[in-house]
Amino acid sequence: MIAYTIRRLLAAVPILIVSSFIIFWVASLSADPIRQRFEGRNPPPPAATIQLERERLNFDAGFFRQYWDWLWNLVVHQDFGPSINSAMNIGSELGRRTVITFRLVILAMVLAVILAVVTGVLSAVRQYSRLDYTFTFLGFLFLAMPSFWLAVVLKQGAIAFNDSVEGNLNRRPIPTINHQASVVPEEFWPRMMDIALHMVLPTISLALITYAALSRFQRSSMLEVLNSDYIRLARAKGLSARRVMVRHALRTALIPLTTVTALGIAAILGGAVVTETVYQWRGMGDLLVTAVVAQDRYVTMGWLLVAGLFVILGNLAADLLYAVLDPRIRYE
Amino acid sequence: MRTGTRRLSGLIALAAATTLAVGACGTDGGSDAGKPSFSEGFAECEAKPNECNSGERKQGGTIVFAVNRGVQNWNQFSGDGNLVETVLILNTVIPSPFIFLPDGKIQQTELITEAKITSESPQTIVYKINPNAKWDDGTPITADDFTMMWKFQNGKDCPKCNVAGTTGFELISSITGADSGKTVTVTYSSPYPDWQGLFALMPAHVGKKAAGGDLNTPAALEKAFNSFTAQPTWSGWAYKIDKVVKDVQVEVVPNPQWYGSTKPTLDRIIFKMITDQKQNVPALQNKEINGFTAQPSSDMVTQVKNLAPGVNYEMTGGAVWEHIDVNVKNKYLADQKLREAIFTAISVQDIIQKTMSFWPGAKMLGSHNLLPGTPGYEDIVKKVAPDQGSGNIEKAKQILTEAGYKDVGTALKTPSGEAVPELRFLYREGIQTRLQTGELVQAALAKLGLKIKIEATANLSDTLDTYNYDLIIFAWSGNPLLSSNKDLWTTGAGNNKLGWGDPESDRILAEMAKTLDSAKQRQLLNQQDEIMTKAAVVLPLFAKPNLLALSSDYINIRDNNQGSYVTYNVENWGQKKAQ
Repeated sequence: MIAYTIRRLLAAVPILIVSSFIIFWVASLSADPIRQRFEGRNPPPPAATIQLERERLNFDAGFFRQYWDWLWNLVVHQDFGPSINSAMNIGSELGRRTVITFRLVILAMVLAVILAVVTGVLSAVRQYSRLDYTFTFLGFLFLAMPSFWLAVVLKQGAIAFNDSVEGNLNRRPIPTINHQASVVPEEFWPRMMDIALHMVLPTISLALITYAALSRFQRSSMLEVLNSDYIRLARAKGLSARRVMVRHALRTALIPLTTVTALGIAAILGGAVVTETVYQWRGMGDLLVTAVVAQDRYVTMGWLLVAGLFVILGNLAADLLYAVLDPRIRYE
Repeated sequence: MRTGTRRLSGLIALAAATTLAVGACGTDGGSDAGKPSFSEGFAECEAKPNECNSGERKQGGTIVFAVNRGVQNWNQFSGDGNLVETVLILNTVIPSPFIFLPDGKIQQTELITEAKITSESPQTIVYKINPNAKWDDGTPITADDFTMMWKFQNGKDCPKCNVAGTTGFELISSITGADSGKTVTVTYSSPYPDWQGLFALMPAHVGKKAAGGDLNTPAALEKAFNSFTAQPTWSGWAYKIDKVVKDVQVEVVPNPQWYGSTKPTLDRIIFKMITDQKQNVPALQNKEINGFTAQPSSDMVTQVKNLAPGVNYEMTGGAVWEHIDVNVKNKYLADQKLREAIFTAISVQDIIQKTMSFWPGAKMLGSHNLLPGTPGYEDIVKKVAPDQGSGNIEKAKQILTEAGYKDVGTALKTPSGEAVPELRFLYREGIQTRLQTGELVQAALAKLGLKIKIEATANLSDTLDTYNYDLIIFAWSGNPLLSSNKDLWTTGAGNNKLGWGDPESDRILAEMAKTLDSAKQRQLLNQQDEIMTKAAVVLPLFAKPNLLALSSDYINIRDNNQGSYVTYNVENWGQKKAQ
């Protein structure tokens, strides 16, 4: 399995290079960020300033040279290139923000998977019952909801809730922006509580949208397994319903969900862009939005590279988990 | 006392904000007509923009004020650090000798005790620095600080300093200090009328230390200049930076070495970064912030109004003004009569009603050089070309008919019988209000027999630089440093995107740019404006509004659209004392 893992990782390198080249090309077609920054200034900026910026950002080099310099610096010096904000170190910015985003994404994903498994299994076991219809309705509802809309609705709901309890509690318990309070409590537990409360809305928002698709997969997968011969055999052998369900049916039914979950990492990163904007988290999503608006080419490149890496790792993890969940699968 | 707007760097940032501002304003015009532009707490702001929302402060308290963007580069004098948000925050720590008040008037600060012109040829200014003025580490503020700022920004001593602008500084021939550096003599090689808005200081001793003890070589200056991109550990004003949570918030606390007579009462000001303007109102509603400024949309205005009485708001005309320009390089539009007819057919009132209905204070702008409410403003359009912007189709037809145009109202032909081709109306991609304006222009000009094709451009600068338009709508940022208007309208000047020029207009602008008397300067600008208005090349539409929403617990906070921003009087900010 180790050899397989290494092979897969090596195979990812050309994929990343080709995709980075395409993205670099697309980014180079967008408007000139230097011109955009200085547009509308009266008096106009000194020509020397514009030239210094062009040199710093390597914009005077040809397209291929620019790409090669970027790639070379990345591989040899682990330098993601210059941001249009001269004081920004793209590498450390990506590192810092990845931690913030993954705190959100992982928790949302875990919550979404748990919800999906529970509701998917219950729906399958009680197929066509009122419960199944309710879960199905909710699943499609959240699936159809635009993530920004759900985030805004949750936010307004939280504000209304805060309004209703403020008189009694003398505080507004649910925050709606940032990943921490303006004045962070110094003691450990209040601080943890502050972090947890700031995660409530973005996590729910992201989890509900992710859960919707996963629950549908889980339901259909569970139904397929429950109708299979080996489950019938297990029941015929007199195994308890719980043992049949958990040991035999669920374990098999989780395999497709594993794939979908791993692939869902890319989707949830996309969802994080919206969620972070609405809740003003300074994570990867916010970084991408800011970079795209400012035409910050090298930041966009860095973001996509990191996101691409996580998608590849997610896919690899899915493949490896297959082997764990299904002993019949072996990687040579 | 320092109660007005700030400095050149702020003004450059103000201009830089134009692009962002117009981007952020790409929302619907909506409808909220008839509602006032000020809530109860700001009711006096229209009549008394410098004194409204004032009162007695209580000691203590914290304010959380939202800003639109995080700070990456703390050097507001650098090309990429010169952003509105950075200037707004650094107003709390950077000293400057003069500030601009919300009504556009200039006021001396307590950094200096006196500044006067001692000679007009060569222009020589003598500043007397407040003997008590010092940086927060106790180092006196002296001529050295003025000299360092000059060397950074004059374009000669530090050619690799990536400065936001050299205007004004490149005209200074020398700076000398006397009385232990507390008297500063600044001599200009040619007149610079906007000298009061020029200086804002960073500490020379800090720069010197970063440069290894020397500020005399280009390399050392560059090193010192770049060292200021880091978070300031110094202050020369009422507050100092205490804590920065990157991209989340900047916290400032009172500077114990503050030498001004108005002492801060707030324990802490937290500048909270809210990068999506739409999230400001919910954050204010949930009491996570106490105030924000923004270019408002209809929705935002309605939401803020619904927060009353706990939240006060004021909506005032900002420095960004919209206009429609005509490309006189187009051979058909080179004819002044056609341009006059076009401007007459366009109804500015309709455009305002359609795109700015949420702002009852919106009025047609009557000047190309001065903004309403600022000294010297006159409605030049009304004075010399009252039909322009009136939407008077019959009058427009009459202009064309009298000029010999044929088929007026059906398919317009020049006096020589040539069909006037379809004209291209350009607007910046994604800005809905400008598209709506284009549609109104299209409908109005159709009545003259002119076909208009509306096109979006993703790159406004390229479009303007290459004259790749017939009619175009965009915005300029009004600038209290009036001499910069020379760059906008002089034939062939860097920011003249019209292809238009007039020798008399150029002469007046040249004279204006070296006139030291501000009243005379404004008079000259109005003279130039008359020439330009008659030429019918730029139709001013309106100044865009700025919105300040503020929790009613806070006083002495009011908006300032003159380049100093809301923090122009930060030392006065406070929580309202109970009556």
